[in-house]
Amino acid sequence: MNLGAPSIVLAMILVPAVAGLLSLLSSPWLTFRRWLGWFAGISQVVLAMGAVSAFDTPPSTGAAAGPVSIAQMAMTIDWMSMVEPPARLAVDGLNLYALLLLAIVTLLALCMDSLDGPARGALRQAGIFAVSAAAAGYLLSRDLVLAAACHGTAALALGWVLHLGADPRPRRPAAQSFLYPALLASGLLWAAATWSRAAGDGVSASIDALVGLAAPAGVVVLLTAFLILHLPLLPLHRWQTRGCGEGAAFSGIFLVGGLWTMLGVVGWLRLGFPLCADALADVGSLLQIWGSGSAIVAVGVAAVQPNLGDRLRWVCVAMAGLVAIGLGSMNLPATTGALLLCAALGLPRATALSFVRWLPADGGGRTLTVWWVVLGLSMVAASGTGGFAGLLPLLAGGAPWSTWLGLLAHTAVVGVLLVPISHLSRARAVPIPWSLHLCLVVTTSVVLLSGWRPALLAKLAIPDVERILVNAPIGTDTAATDGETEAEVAEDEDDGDVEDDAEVLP
Amino acid sequence: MSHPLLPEVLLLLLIFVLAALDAWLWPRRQGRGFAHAGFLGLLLPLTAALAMWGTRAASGLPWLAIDSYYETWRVLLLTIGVLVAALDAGRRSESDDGAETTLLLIAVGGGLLVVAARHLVLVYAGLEITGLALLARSVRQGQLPLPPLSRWLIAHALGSAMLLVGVAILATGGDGVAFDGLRHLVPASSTSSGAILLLIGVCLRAGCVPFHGWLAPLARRPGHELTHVLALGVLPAVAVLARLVADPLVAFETLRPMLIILGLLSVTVGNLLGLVQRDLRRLLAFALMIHVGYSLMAIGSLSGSEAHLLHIVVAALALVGLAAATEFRAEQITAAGLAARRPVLAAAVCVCLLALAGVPPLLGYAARTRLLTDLATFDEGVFLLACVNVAVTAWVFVAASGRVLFAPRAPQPAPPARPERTAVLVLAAGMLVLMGLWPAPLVDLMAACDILP
Repeated sequence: MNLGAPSIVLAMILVPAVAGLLSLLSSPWLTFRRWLGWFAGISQVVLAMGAVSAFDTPPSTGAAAGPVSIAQMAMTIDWMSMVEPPARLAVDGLNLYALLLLAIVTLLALCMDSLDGPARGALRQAGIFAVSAAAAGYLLSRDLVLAAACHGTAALALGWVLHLGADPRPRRPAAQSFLYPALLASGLLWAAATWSRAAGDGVSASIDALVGLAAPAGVVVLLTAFLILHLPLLPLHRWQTRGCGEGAAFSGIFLVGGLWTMLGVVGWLRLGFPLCADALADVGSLLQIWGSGSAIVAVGVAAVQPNLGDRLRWVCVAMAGLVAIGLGSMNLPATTGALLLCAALGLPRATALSFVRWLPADGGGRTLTVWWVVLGLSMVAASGTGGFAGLLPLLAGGAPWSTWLGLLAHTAVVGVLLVPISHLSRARAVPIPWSLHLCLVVTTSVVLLSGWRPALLAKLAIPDVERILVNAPIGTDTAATDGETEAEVAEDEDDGDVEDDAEVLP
Repeated sequence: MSHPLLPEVLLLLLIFVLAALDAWLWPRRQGRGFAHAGFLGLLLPLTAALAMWGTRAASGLPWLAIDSYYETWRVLLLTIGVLVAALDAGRRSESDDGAETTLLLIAVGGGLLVVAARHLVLVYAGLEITGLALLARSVRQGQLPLPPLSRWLIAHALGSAMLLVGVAILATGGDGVAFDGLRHLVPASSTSSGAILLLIGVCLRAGCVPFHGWLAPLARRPGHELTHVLALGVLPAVAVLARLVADPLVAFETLRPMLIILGLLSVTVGNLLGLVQRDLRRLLAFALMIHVGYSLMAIGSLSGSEAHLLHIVVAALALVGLAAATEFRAEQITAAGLAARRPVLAAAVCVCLLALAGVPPLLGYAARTRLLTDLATFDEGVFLLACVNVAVTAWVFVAASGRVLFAPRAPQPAPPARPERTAVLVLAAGMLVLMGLWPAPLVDLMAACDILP
């Protein structure tokens, strides 16, 4: 294990944590607090980019490859020492995107925070950094108990930020709609951690110690429920349709839209997947069926929503269904595709949700319409955007029926998002605030950049996803991706050879 | 090298000085001088106890043990004493009643005696001193309703009787009722019945189901008084149970399943009652019932002492913090919509409630994690039942904090905040957050606590 740069790992948690504390302490000095926020946010981005550049791109001879993952820049912390073994934090190919996304989303959330005005700004800024620190801890942790603790902390802090919007007493409290399912997800992860630890040596809840052990069936159920709550799939979608709506703070919406689904998917792949070896086939089928059904129903509901915000939020649920189809396929192309799609949708979703939250009821105009089209195309992972590199292998790697259902849902989503264009273009033109404008520009740049060179990102995730799938009992389904005949697939399965799967991805 | 009983000696001196001052200055004027003196005076033994935490110096007395378990409890009880004295100092001052402060200190001393005792008669004496001191304090509040006290008194008397009968039966079976003698007892029908009676007597003091009838009506008493009873009257009984089951009565194997069943009952009933409860003070009583239940489960599973100690710490801090947030009055307090009027106060109340819920990043999370880990290795059925209860507990207290934050209006006018009470609330909330964010030092100390001699 390469332990060469543990300070980067620790700094990714400590920088936002300290920034949050300083934001609280410097609340009387508005200008200083804002500059502090910008400085800490940019530092986070620099740190995340440093982690990406320092990452020894696999396959590597320098990085020792464990049975599950190739954790690099790992370190141990005595979070609950003597009773619990020291917990491990590590950067690997799965959380690398999420860390980068987290840093950018945090910076843009700070930017969006100006839309809520200066009142309670210090509390919101502290909350944003608390979310960032906790989410970084969750993403980096290889210990399930520590990850559950960080997840719960992030949920609480995010609920806090959502609650501190300009309208603290909306008809339906957005923070409440988000907080309860988010804490439930934390509880599910925590229960799974405790249970699987008891089934193991009873001491360690680390993935490195638990991998290969037969986790109880209850653990699989808990982790699947955790994922479904996070994506979200119907009928557990309330945090998406209500939590990002009326009364919520802009920065909170941005964080929820940008991060929450990603946290669930990365957590499930890094922490849950290695534990579920025996029950993966059943869970995969369930996820595919549930994801397809959820996507179809959500698109249908979105199509009849008169309000643009409601329409977009239901579309988010539909796209989460597509991610579930990819994750449920349990093969390298589809799973990696789901991960990439999830990462690529983070920024457009966050910006689009903030956009519709800001948009006045009678607002529109040509400029806004153009931005809406750009965001819509990014949201549906159109060709040339970053999401397309995930959507294509996701649909190609799934079972035929789920591929068709996914395509159907995806086509409908395109229509649902583009239908309001005519209405939007005829409405009263309103100027876009600078912060939202900046977010739109950054989001579009990132989407186009990642769409132009997707291989740069994909090559980091593929080896780790492959390792996880090899550890699972299935994971040799290559038929849908490289056009082999069924006989060849069966032959490949007999040989237990999964090495070629990586080559079909960009 | 300081004397191993220095904190106790300092506490005794303080009691005598305050009692003498009280007698000398009678009749007293308006003010809160005695409460402040009690608060400042208690800081001395607490400082000594903190300095001696982990030294494990022998007491030199045959029936009093200064072990690591006692040292932890000593710090905890003295901290509770300091916080409660600060709450007293923050009361509206009708009169500066020195007797109440003295009784509080006596109750703390009784609690220390209960935990340190290695003789059943001393355990009984300690429980009586604590209970009677708290009862006397409550009776002095003449203008407040007395019926809840009568029920408490009946439970107290019943518990004493059962404890004494149990001690007497055990005394007939062996070499006296010192812990050293009890270890040689052979479990037989008579001695087992004595041990069970003893256990029920202590459980009556601990307020666990089905011996909890006296606990909830106390919520009709003022908030600070309820806190005295809950923190100082109930919690030391848990230490007695842990000591008895782990040390002198370890041969009586029926006691451990009994404790687990009692714990499960307490948690389940406390959760069910808490689900429909809106009054914050009654919720405090149920919170204690729930946490005592979790502690009993941890004690019954014979795991390390950290699980039940962590639960006791969480319950004590959260109870004191929430008592600081409730005004001293008899009407119902829901705290719904408090955030609209007092955001900082509401945030601190929410921290205390979420700590009781076991939500990260607060200390309750570390406590629940230890408990569930121990139970998972002990028995899968108990573990699953505990998981369900942990989820319901989380729901009860997260929903309560949700009412504080999200309720559309504040039905009651916010009381004026006294600096002492605000300080106690912020201190309790801060400790719950800090120890929750980085639990390693505290958990290590608790894990090193050995109940056995």
